[in-house]
Amino acid sequence: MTSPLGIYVSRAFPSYISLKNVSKIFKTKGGAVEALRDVNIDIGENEFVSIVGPSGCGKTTILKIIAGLIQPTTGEVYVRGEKVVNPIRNVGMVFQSPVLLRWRTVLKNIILPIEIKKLNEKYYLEKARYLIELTGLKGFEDKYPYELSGGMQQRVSICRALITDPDVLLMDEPFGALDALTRDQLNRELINIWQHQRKTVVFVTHSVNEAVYLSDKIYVMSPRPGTIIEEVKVDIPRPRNRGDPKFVTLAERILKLLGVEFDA
Amino acid sequence: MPEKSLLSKVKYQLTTHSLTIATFAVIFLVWEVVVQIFNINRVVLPAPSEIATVMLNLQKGYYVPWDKHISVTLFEILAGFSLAAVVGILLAMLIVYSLVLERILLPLIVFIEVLPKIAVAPLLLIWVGYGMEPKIGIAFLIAFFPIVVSTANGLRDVEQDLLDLMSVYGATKTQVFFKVRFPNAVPHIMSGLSIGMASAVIGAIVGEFVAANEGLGFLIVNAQYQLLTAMAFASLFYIAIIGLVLYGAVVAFGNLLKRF
Repeated sequence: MTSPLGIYVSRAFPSYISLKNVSKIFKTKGGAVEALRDVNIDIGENEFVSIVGPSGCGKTTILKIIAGLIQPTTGEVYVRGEKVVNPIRNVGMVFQSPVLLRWRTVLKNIILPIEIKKLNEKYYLEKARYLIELTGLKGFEDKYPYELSGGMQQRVSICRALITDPDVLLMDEPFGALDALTRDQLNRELINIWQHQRKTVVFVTHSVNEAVYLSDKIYVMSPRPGTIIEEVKVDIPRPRNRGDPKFVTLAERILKLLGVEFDA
Repeated sequence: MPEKSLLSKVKYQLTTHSLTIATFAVIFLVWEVVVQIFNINRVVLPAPSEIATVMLNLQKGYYVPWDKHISVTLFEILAGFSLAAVVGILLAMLIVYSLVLERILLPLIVFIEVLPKIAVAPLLLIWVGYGMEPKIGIAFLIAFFPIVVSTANGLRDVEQDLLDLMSVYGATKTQVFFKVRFPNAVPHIMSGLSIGMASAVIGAIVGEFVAANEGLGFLIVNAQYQLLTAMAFASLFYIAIIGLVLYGAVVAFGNLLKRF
């Protein structure tokens, strides 16, 4: 199906990823910590969804629950219509730190998932080169992570997440540790990539500006125990302009939802 | 600009090495001068020149078969060290991969570590005889602890995010070990091995002190009985040279690994 904007939108699964009444209680030495309470999230196929909220509100926990890395205490999670009980497959993950293997070159880091899945390395080397080109890493294929800037390391980490061509991309504050300029640039590049190879993206951030710039839909969370305060649709055509009055109004509305004590 | 960086590297190496050499040269020079000027009794403190004479067997009155003693001690060190490296790394893997084995093995390992090895030596002599075996045993006992501890730390010290990533790729335990944990532990293992090597030297000499009829440790004890102080110093210097060379070899091997 093609939307009026000319962007391909598939709605094969009305909810590609869904969390139903999910709660999570962590048992620690200091007692039980309620991380999430009654979280309901619905994400359509190829939708770009952000989760914003204050630090420690359980955003990362939601991502790990979607990935099947941890199980919710109550509630259910479905990805592609299947209930999640184990780590899900065909997913790309990007974390706040690039988590690259320091003894591997850029190319070797990107190809790691292929080695693990024992896929045809020759075919994927071609693909890796394409991604390297796409993310502006050309010429750095044989460099080691310590030879790259933080922004470039994060680009490598994004390439690694994309190499298997996953249909779901889970990103946990991927640009949180970068300077503002690099962050804006990578925001643009991410949207560019997403528009070229449509994927369902779940993007965790505590930057409202970033969330409004990137997303189709934003889930706003409360402090711990994390609950969804509101689901905000972003109906601003791309490419978005951060100075656009509609953009600013929406960002202010979300900031208000997050409360005055939120430092954005 | 590889030429330039190579040049600066060579220059740097030269500067640091010349400083080391200069430091030793000054120490030996002062030592020599002090002994000569104050006419110090050679049984108390022989001059470096006399020690060098003994090291090269140019002295009068007695002959030291250095090659035999050096090769005995060297063999004990290397055997003890190799054993410690293999056993140490394997034990570390067992500890990291099994909580039950950790609970069983770790107290035992710490128990062995806190035992004074010199006190264990007589037992080893009773058990395995007076040959090279007890010396290898002590070298092993001293060397394996740092290897176990640093290897275990290296295998454990992996970011949770990376392990999560490996789970979503569906990596097996073996893959996580060979692709992540082990390469991640290499720098830790190398530092464990270098400390282990230095310890193995001590272990072999300690073993020879207790009971031996060959080796550099035996020579020192022997020199003490005969008041051949220069011979004791000469043995000591040979031990130091062996220690430095072996330690340097481990470090160089580690640097070599870094490139891959």
